[in-house]
Amino acid sequence: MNGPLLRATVVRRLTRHKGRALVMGLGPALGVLATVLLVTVSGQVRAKFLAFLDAAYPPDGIVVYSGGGPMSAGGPRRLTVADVETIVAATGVPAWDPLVFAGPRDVRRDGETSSVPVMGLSEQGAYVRRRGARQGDYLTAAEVSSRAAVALLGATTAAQLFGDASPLGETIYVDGTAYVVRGVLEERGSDPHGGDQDHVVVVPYTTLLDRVLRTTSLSAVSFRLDDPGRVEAAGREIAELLRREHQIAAGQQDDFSVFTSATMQAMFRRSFRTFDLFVPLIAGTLFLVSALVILAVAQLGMRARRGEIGLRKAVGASAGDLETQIVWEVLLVAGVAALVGLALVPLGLRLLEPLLAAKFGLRELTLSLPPVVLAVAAAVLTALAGAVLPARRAARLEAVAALR
Amino acid sequence: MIEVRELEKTYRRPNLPPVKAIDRVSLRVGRGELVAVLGPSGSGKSTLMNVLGLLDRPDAGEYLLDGRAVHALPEDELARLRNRFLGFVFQAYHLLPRTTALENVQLPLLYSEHADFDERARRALSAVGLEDRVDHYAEELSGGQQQRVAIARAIVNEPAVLLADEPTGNLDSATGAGILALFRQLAQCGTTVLLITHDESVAAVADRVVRIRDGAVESDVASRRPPAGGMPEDSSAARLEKLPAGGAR
Repeated sequence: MNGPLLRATVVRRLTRHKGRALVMGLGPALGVLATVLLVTVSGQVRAKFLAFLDAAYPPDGIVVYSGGGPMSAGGPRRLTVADVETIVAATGVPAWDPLVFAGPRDVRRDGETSSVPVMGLSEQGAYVRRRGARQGDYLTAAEVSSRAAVALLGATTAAQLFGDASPLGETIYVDGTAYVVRGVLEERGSDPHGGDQDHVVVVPYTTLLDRVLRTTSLSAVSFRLDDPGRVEAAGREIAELLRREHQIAAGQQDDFSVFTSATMQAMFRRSFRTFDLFVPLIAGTLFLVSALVILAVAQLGMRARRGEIGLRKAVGASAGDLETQIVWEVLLVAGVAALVGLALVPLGLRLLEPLLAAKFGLRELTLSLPPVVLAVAAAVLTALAGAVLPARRAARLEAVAALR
Repeated sequence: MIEVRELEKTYRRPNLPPVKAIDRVSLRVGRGELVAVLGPSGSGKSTLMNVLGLLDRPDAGEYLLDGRAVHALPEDELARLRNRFLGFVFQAYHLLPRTTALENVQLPLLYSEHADFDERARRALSAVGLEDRVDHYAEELSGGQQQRVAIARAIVNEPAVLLADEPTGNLDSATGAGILALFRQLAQCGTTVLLITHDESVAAVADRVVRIRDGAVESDVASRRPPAGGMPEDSSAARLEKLPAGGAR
């Protein structure tokens, strides 16, 4: 075949039969758009969750929750400091930090009032949770043991209450009680559900237990081991110890939950398995529909082009020539449509941004090459699959019958 | 150029008696001859054209094109021969819609390797007097102009044989006469032209009239007019150059 003339013929067909090209190109364009968006968003949601898990459940850490864990609806809350001391004594875990969660409280400074989650930690929090003070000082052992009225502010809370001014040494009021600000915490950004981890007030856990909540129950406790290789065994040991301490019989439900990095990763993988199936399923369905639409439009086109096909055969087109031409016509439409779909991706991401920011805390979505290559390849290959049958039929058509 | 011996073609359909469309036809047509194949509707002349044009295969007999047996060649080889040796002109023109005259004429060049396809197509259009209509769409041309585009398309690859099936059937008599004059000029330039027609007046322009009835040759008579061509040498480029730019309108 004459290569330059084939190119000119194929391009001409696309530009002169825009309606048909539009219908044919809709599937590949939508397929590419949806696939790139789905893969990009799911990839970044996954990365966000993994980053959060790495920070919250590091490989050398164990977290024990009162009740069913961070996602549980509640239940008995029987984890106490005495439990923790028993665990430390029995296992020799070197560092621990309790967590007491007091929920959102009214936090006021001068005329500014804000509802802020308040939590209690110990002086070990900076080491165990890998989150120190970026400004000022962290809680001290003396402040924790004396149930001092001191506070650390998350960066968002500091900005809300103090603007650009330094909050260090200033007084804030939590539910009307005065606390002196000791420091501002290192920034953590949003959690995978879009919650702002910097919108927080941290006070000594002893202050919360004894002066605010008047309870002995901890919400959770985090341990940090020297040897990450010991984590799983220590986790099992802690669970057995707590069952014994809490007198939980075999077969009875635990009133605590032990999480390690490995258990959280496994839980995450289980949750994402549905997502991992969902993305290829949606993309596959779109491209399958796209191939069927191309097949149907090309098939109808072949009927309308019967005379043309007969003529082409009469002037010397072989079966292979006809197949080549028709396949290239479809591939060009699919290729252009794929590029249009790609061009729409930034717009799609911009439209999705508010939703993704609210749901997953994703603020800046970046496009990577693999999903783009994957989606364009899928668009072209499925278009090819849709084109082959009509091309074969056209090639088999007898010139005499087609010209009649 | 064309020689067929004892050619046969029978159409068979279920529950219907077989129809012998070509019945032991033998024929020789020389280079540059303008031959009319004349017969009433259903006489088998179109089937004969299809077989001679390598669009259909005979059931029996031999077909030699330029001395080469072609009746049993594979499909791809037949397509190649149609592109290199044969040109077709149809009663209904068969121009591609939404396509310019130039692009229509370029059609056979798509299946050849000529790099100068644009220049060749322009030359062919010029040869049929349509150099000022190259960018007109098929729908914008009159019947006579469309048929001349079809002729330009048929000669663009400089074929040795031109097969024209009722080429003036859709044209008024004046336009038809112009088209026939064009065929005559092509024959004078060395192209073998086969005119398939049922019209005695069309057949009258030919050097020879082969009458077909019930698929068989009834008579094969040379006309009294001097032969159109019969050139021993065949330079296609020269043929095109010899054609008057205005053609025969």
